[in-house]
Amino acid sequence: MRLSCLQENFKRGLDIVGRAVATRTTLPITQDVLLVAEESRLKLCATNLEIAISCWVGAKVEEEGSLAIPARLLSEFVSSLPNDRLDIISSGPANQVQIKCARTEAHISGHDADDFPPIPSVGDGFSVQLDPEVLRKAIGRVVFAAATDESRPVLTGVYTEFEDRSLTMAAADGFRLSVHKVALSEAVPEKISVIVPARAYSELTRLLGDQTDPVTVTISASGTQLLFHLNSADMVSQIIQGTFPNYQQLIPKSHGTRCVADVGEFLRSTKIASVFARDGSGIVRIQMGPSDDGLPGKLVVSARSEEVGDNTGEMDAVVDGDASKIAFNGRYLTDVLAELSTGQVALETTSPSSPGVFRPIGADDYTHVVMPMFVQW
Amino acid sequence: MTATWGLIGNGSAVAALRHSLTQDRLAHAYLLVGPDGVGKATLARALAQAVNCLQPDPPCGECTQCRRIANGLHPDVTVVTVEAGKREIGIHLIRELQFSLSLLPFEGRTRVTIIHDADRLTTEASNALLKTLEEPPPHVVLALTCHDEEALLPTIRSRCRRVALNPVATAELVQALETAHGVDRELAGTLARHARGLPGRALAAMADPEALAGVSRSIAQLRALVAADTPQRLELAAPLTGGGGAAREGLLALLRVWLDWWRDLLLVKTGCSSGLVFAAEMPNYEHGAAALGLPDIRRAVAAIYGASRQIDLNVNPRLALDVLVLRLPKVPGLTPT
Ligand SMILES: [Zn+2]
Repeated sequence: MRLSCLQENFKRGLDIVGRAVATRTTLPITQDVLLVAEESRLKLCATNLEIAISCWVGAKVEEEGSLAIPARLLSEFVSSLPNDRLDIISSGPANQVQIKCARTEAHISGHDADDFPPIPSVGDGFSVQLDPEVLRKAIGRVVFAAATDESRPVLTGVYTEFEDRSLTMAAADGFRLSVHKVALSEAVPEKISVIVPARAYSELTRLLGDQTDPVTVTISASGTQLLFHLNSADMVSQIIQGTFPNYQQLIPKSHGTRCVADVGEFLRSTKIASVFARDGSGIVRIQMGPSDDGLPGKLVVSARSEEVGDNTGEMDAVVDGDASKIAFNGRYLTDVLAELSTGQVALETTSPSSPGVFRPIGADDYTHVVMPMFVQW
Repeated sequence: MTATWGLIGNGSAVAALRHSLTQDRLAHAYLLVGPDGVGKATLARALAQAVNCLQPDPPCGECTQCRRIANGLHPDVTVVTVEAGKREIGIHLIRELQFSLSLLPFEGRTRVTIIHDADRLTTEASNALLKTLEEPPPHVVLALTCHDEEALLPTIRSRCRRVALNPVATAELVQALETAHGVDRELAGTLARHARGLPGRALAAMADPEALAGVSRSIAQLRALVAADTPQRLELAAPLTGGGGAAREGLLALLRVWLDWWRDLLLVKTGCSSGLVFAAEMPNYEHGAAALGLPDIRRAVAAIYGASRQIDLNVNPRLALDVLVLRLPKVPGLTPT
């Protein structure tokens, strides 16, 4: 292998694939980055066996070849170099690479490229084009509801379903559920559903950066991998095996009270209440009252704890149905309200012991269900 | 790779697995039971190859999948063992494992997890593992190995298909060392007798010339000890302990040699002089058999066995060894062989 490229470009490539370098040491070579010199570019790959990221750097390749190099050492070394021409040569001892830049030179020991896990190529299967803005929004609206505890692996993933002209993403951690629907520009040939690790989607959002060109998503024919083709890189995600809970059953079909309020105001009140809820299991109480005697309806957000004291915040709201009360974990409330961030939100409830449903006003693409907490009123 | 799956001996265990494989009736979990060195790890690895091999008569040992597994480079084959410096397999290792098992295979057909010394799983780890054994993902095969299956939760045992591996006859071991590993007959004989039917032990000694020298040294240390008086014995024992976990392993290996020596002596005393581990020690065995009664020899065997067990159970090695050296009967006049 013998090539030259710009330090700046090489460093950018290392930063991109670096997100996929393994931190666990189950398979030591996954802490390496694979360098492949091909035709007129240098390909960089890394995988933690859950996701794999590949990217390409423009390079002048004099001799093709490949080698796996410890990622951390390589990144630290390359970051400290000036932005100048970088020469990468492996001609000396086996699996060693020589890197020269300006008046600095290093020899780094790596591993045989054949020992590196094969980066899955998602050849056949079907592809869809997605607007990056739509994808970013969909991911943002569901990933936070996925479980972080790995004892039930399917819940650490995001159920992803392509059917006809729509893409549905759903995540649930046993206490809340997020479902977001996206319209596709073209119909998919057949219905396919997979569970994608939430971490993979979070990485995808980072990789997307400010890209505006469409993203191509390809699902392998075997349904075992998902490929995202971006401007800056390709990311392949593994699929979580298992059956995702039938989330439709978790969404209440009716409600006794529907309260529409301003998201910003609701979020602010919830954040304040959460301060007072800290030592009381994070319980935030919500009371909804319909308009009465010409007075507008109202939404009251409160919290109290023995030691800190209590807090009550009130805002105008349009409340249909009966007056009602319900309590939630404050963090779950702030998570969903922060994600909605602006506009108005509807909260639908049936009883203090039934789940509450949040829906943005003006769009029917999102449903968020939160289990209530039991409190003495 | 041949029909033996690279294993020395235990042909029937391999045949049973081959049969299940060809009939497409593999279990999701296996428990490979047998003494250390009998071939459990070899068989588990061969099983991992067999379910991922690309050739018609798996495992071929040659294809990319077989080679990556043999070299410990296959992303879908995970080996869980007691971590260095620890004595048990903790729950965090099982949790990590469970998440990776939920992912579809990365490059192969089947994710295989090998858990060595499963009898060292903590109770929490065992209970967590039980969940996986109760509902194994379809693309997963687990192979647990252990030498003390009584130490496993009965619920774990009942969910695994048991494969027992037994010590291999010396003649079979000698032949395998000669044919498959190109060892000359005399060395093969020495290695096989010393290995006591455990191919792993023979292969380790073959790969490490220092190991055989270590055995001679251990016998010399034993001869010196049994010739000495009480205070001198403690002095002689002192340098044999010390250090950390590696020293513990070294001490256990030393006690295995001593145990073999005393068992040989027991055999000679009872008139069975064939199949001795250290045949060259014959003059000393004859001398010892004349000097000691059968109960003395039995007590010595029991004492060494007891000390090994105690060290295995984490008793202070120095203490266990001191007690042991004071219990061994005195036999002066043993000669170097
Ligand atoms: Zn093969």
